[in-house]
Amino acid sequence: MDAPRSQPDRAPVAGGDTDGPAASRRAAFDVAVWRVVAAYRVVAAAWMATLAAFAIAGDQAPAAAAVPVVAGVAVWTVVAVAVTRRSQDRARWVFVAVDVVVAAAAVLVPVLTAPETGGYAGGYPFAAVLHAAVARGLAGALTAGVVLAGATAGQQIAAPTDLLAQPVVEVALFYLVSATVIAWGYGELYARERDRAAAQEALAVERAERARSDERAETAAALHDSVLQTLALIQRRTDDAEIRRLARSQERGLRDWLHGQRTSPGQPTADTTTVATALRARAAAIEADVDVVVDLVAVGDGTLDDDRRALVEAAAEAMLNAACHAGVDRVDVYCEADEARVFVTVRDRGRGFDPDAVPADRRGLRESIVGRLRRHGGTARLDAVPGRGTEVSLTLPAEGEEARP
Amino acid sequence: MTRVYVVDDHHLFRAGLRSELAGRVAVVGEAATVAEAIEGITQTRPDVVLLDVHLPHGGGTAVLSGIAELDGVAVLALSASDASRDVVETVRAGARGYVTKTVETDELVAAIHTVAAGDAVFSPRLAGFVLDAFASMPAEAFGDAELSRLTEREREVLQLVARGYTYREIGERLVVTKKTVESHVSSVLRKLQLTNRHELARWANERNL
Repeated sequence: MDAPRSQPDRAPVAGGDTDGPAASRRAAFDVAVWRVVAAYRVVAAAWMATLAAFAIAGDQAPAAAAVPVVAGVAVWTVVAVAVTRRSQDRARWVFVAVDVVVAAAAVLVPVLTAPETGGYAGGYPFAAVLHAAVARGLAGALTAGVVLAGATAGQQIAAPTDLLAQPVVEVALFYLVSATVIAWGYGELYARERDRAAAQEALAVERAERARSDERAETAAALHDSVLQTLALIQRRTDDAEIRRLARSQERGLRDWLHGQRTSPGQPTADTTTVATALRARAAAIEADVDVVVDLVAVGDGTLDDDRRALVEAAAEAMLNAACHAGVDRVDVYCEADEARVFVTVRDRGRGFDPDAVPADRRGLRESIVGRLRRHGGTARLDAVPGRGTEVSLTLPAEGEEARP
Repeated sequence: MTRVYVVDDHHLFRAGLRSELAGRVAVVGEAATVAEAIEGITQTRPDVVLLDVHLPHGGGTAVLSGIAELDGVAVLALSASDASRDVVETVRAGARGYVTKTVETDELVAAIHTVAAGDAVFSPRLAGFVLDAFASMPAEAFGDAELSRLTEREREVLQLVARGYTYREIGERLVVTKKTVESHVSSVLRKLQLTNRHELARWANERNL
């Protein structure tokens, strides 16, 4: 279907495309509006014919004049309704002009030939205003309104009667005012319809886009999972420590990227400005050196300051110690952080140790961790049971103290 | 012996699992696709299904809806990527627990038994995610105000899970029975299943989880 020429001085209701749901919605709207216009025209013509019949029957109008006029209007109505169906022609100025002229004649001829009736055009002339408004907007409507107002006023000159007896001024005003209101009202309706259609189309596009991106995400997730699984399998199956380390490092890279920690799987962690990211970076570094999995679970996060940096150092020391001395292949790190407090645990299920029987070098380590935390306003605890593993817990600020502002 | 059905599209993984679990549970069947899984599970009626979260063509959630009507079948979700968002979907769809594929065999068997008994299992990372979510999501995310927060005990237990403790170890540490620990975790699972899906997804998106 070709672009609607019925609105040559307006943009199409929704977009410029001529197919698809937007175009058919637009077409449906236009069809509906024009149907109303044509229907009114037919009803109004019948109305005029009825009034003329009464005038003839009451001997107020000469049949010789009335019948031709009504016949002319009837014929023109049939032509006009047929033209209304053709979107290229219904908006032509020529057609609108002729329509208005016919309407003006429908006003004048009855008045001139049957002055006592005051005219029997009824609502017919208004059909021309309606058509002009829908076809040519405000310009068309006002043109029709002015012409018809003029015709109405003109009858006063041609067949002078008591100005107050016939509602000439009112009717003239009616044509002018209604032309303006109709044109404005239709303009509003049109604009709202266009906005609604555009919004619907945008929504449909957005939905389609979202569905596509959801599908992509799902495929990506399945693929990543598959790769991670293979890397895990490699770590399990190989006796080669180098390969294990490589696989673990790739696994970590992909995992971090999946969780938004990196911009690409190959790049090292860029962000180390928060507690959790700093811990993660230290864990990754230890994994790179020692053949051990150091896994971090973080709940919340917080910014770093000097005290917290010291805590991260202490945690890193605990991680390294567990990785090297506990005789395990896995160390679990947990971090709870917000702006008020940080709580970190480093846990392994290794040899453990008896705190009282600690050899000199390990004692040094313990004091290093505990002392460091204390100096920065925090607490460190070492829980160790021989054969069951070790847990180092670090709290900042110290337990029982108020959180920092 | 507990009867287990394995659903995963990697045959190497399925074979590995079979051999790992041999003698400890009875593997009564396996499947690689959603359709096969639904049919196989319906026929064999296992106690526990080990279900890969990222099964192609609909994934774990499709299998879960397919077997929703079967009584007495508990689902333990597995995935390699430990991405909480995917796991939460599966848990909501009816899985009773989640472990990562890298978990030790002993832990896996313990998880199978826990889930078969009707209790819930969370991986440490998932426990951390749940802790975080319940602490930071706004009140509107929770349907029922009563169930919107974790109790102090539930938080304690969940934190220990996140720190890598087994249920037995948690029981020893808090001086309660293992059964008590299990029921706390199960209660958390129920609360998780009742959270508002969109709020949870939006929150997880913001945190890039």
